[in-house]
Amino acid sequence: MAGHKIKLQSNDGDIFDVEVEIAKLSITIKTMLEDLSMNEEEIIPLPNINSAIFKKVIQWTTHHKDDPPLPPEDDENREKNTNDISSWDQEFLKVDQGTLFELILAANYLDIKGLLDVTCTSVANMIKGKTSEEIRQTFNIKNDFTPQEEEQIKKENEWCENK
Amino acid sequence: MTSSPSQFFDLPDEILLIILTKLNIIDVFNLKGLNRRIDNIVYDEVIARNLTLFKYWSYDVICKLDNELLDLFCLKILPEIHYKIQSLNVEISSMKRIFLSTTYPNLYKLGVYNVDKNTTLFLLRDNNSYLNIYKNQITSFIIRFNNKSQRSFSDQLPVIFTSIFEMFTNLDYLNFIANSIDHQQLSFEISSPPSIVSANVLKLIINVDSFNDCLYVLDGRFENLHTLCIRISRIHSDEIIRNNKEILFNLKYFSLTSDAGTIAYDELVVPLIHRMLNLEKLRLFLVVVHKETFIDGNNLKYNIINYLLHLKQFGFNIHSFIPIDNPNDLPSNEDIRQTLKNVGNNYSFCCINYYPESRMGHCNIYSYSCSNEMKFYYNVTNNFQSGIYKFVRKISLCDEYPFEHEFFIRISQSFPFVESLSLTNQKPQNEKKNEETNLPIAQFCHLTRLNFDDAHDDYIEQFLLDRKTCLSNNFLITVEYYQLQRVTFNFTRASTKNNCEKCGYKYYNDALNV
Repeated sequence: MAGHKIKLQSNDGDIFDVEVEIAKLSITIKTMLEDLSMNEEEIIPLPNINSAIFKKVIQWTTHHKDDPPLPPEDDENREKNTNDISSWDQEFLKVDQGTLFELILAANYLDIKGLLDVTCTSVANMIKGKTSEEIRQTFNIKNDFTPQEEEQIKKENEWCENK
Repeated sequence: MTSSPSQFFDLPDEILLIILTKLNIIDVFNLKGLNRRIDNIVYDEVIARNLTLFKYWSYDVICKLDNELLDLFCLKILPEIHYKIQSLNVEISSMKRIFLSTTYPNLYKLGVYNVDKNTTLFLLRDNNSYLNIYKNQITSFIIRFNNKSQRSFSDQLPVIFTSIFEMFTNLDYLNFIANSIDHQQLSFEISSPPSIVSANVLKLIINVDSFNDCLYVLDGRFENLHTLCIRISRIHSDEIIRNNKEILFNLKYFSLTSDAGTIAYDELVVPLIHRMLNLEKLRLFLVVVHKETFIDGNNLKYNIINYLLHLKQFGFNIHSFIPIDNPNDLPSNEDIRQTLKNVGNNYSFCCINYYPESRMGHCNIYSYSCSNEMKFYYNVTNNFQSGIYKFVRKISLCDEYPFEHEFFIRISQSFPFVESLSLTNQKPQNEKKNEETNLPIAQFCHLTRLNFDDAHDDYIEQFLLDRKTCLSNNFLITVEYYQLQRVTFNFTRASTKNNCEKCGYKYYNDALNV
């Protein structure tokens, strides 16, 4: 029923009243409600998501609740277009890296494909076109190769550059 | 409870893999050597099983890898991961190196892009072709032709089509898109059409020249075909030579696209669909010229849906045109919307336009489920109802009423990733008072092609004034040169200089423009 709400609880104890239709954009919650016959009066715990992140998830699903379905995956190779993030999503994703990574995990846990796609694409955009050193700095990635291995990698890269 | 990931490396491998699959293969392998964990992920089967070894310049134009990158792949990376590769997409000029650098024992799906006639025929027909060792293991084949070299090519397409079946004997999927240009498609209407017969083929995606060619494909030669996605350049009834009527029991999914208007919808398209008794999924993307009524929900219900008892999904985007004989007896947008309820899909849209000068009515109906599949959106008028179409790359704008600046803002927002735009409109703008406007600038940042076809000078000015339109840095403009001269004051007008230079027109004397 339109406007009907369910209660969802974040891992820090906050309870959110969310419209069923919006909550069901999460396949995880949809499955709980439909296949596991959970009573809509019951409070559904979300042990992997804190309230700050869950608020963002609700904000995203509310905005995208009427989106048409994504095109079916076809067999043809497609351009990997990481530029096609809508301006609303771009604004929505102007958050620090920690929040972005938590959103990714939340989208993955809740099984919200659209949100997982757009958050992962946003991280992919941080990688695209950057040099190794820039990527290391962007994500604070430590080099854990032994000096010998590093020498080998350097050689390979030199070999590549000289070609 | 999992701890919060404050860093990239706190994300599990499964998520890092999803992120990497968003990148092209060049960016993925650029991560090699960052650290141990990343190296393992880069070589993961999820990445390695499906490789695309070329770059996209735009949505339909590709280019080969730089030589040094190709060296890296051919001499180092491919030999290391060759046994993981199941699907390979290659550009024709680098294909030989990629195939001679190693073997691909698990390869079953091959996509070859930018192909030309001679190389393709050698690959598919010569006994020494390096593809010969894969002839039994390739079951899926995709071929894309080089659009630039097509003119003398279309007569060879049936030969190439036939050769594919001769080469890959176990083929169950073929994707054969010859050309984006409509009049240069695969045609079997030749003196001796190929006698291909295959019981293995289950899925065919193909562009053909005429409706006859579609009937050729469906004449029983592919007896087990369950999916046919076909684009037909012209659907005419006066040239039908294959009038087969057999029921197509095995066909489960049929998608028909034709961008050119047809008057033979009732005569050809509807009877063909009636033969597909077991169809479960249907997609129709058509432009229909009708005598009296628009193609509306009632038409779809009584002529299509009622005949297909197993239909589960029906997507459509249909433009229909009718002559206006009696302007007082025309359906409204609401009338059409009501009929769409008969399609059994609450999420369908319609848009009606009347063109008094050409005495023509136009109706576009499309289903919600198809709106994200549209790559092209034709005949956008002032009546366009906003919405976001992020997958549309090509649009055409035309009307008998002027397009004002506000319209272009709406269009730029509804089609944020449009790359090709054509405009036809002879009416001058009403609200064009001067170059200054309080409205925001219309942003067309991805545009690579801009075509003015029978357009008033105001629209050329609209796009060239940098206070009104923001364009990408490198786009191709098609416009009458004298119009361009007029609008730019013979290449001296300062306010059009930036956008002019973006499409390659330099001003003669920069001093004049300061």
